[in-house]
Amino acid sequence: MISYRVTTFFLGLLVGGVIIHLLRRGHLHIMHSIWWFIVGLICIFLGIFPCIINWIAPILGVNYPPNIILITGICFFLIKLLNMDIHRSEQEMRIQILTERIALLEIELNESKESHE
Amino acid sequence: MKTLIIIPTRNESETIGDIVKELNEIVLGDILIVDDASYDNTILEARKAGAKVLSLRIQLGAWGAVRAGFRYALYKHYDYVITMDADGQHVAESIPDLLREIQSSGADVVIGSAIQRGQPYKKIAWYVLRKLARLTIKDLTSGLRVYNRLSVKSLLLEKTALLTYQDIGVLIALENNGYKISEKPVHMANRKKGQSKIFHSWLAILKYFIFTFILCLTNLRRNNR
Repeated sequence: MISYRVTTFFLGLLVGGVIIHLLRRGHLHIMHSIWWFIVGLICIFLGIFPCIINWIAPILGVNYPPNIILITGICFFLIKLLNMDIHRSEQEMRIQILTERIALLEIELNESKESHE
Repeated sequence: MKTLIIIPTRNESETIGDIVKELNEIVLGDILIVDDASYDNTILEARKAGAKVLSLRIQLGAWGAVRAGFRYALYKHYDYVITMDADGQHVAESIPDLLREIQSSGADVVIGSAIQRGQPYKKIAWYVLRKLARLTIKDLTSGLRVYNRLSVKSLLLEKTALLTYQDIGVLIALENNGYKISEKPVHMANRKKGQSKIFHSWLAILKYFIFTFILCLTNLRRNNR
C-alpha cells in the first residue's frame, strides 16, 4: 500500500496543474484567473504538505481533519457561485440595455433611409 | 399632446393586424409595436396594418420590450406613453378615458384596472402580494397603463432593467421615486388567442409568486432604510 502523501501529492499536482495550464492558455479574463490561480496553488501546496491540515484541525476544534478542507471548500465555492450570479445579472442588464439601444438605432436608420429614398 | 401607444409582441401575427387597425380608428396617437424576437409574421402584419415596428434582436421579455418602447418615446419627445397587450384583452375605446384621467387627476401613471377579471386564486394572490408590497393599487398586473414623460424617464434607470414583468416591480419603483399612480376601471375583453403569459400554468404561477415575493422583500428593506 502506498503512502497517502503520495496520493495527495499527485492529486494536488493534477488539479493545480490543470488549472494553471488552462490559465496559461488564456481561457479566462485576467481578473477571474486570479481566483483560480490561487485555488491551483492551494491544491498543489496541500497536496505536497497534507499534514498542515492535521496541524490546523485541533486548533480549530475539529476532530476529523479532512472535514476542514470539505467545509472550507464548500463555503468558498458558494461565495464564488454567488459572485458569478451577481456578475451574470450585471451582464444581463448590460445586454438588455444594449439590445434596447440597438433596436432604437435600427428604427432610426430605417426611417432616415426611407426619408432619403 | 404627442401620444405613443406601445404594444409588446411575441408571435402575435394572428391578432396584431386587427388590434392596430382598431386603434388607428379610435385613438389619436402613434402606434409602436415592439417585437420581442418573434419567429412568425408579427412584424409583417404590424407594418401592413400601418404601425411602426421596433424589432428586438434578442428576446428580452415583455418588460424589456416595453422599456425599448419607452426609450423610443423619450427619444421622439412623446408626452404620454400608453402600454397595452397584443392579445386583444385591452379595448381601444378605454384609452381616451385613461388619457383624460391622467390629464385631469395630476397622476403620473394611470392604470386601466379590471379587478373583476380572473379566477379566485388570482384574486387571493393579488391580495397577498398587495399586502407584501404595501401597495394600495388594486389591479397589480394590468398592462394597460398610461405614463407621463417623467415617469417613463425614471423607469429607464439601470435598476429597473431586470424586472421581467410590467407589474408590481414597476409600481414599487414608481412609488419609491414619489410618482403618483391612479386607477381607472376599464372593460376588458376575453383574449382573442392564447392564454396569460404570467399565469399560464401552476408552475408559472408559483415562479411568479416566488419572484414577486423576493422582489417585495428586497424593496421592503430598502424602504425601511
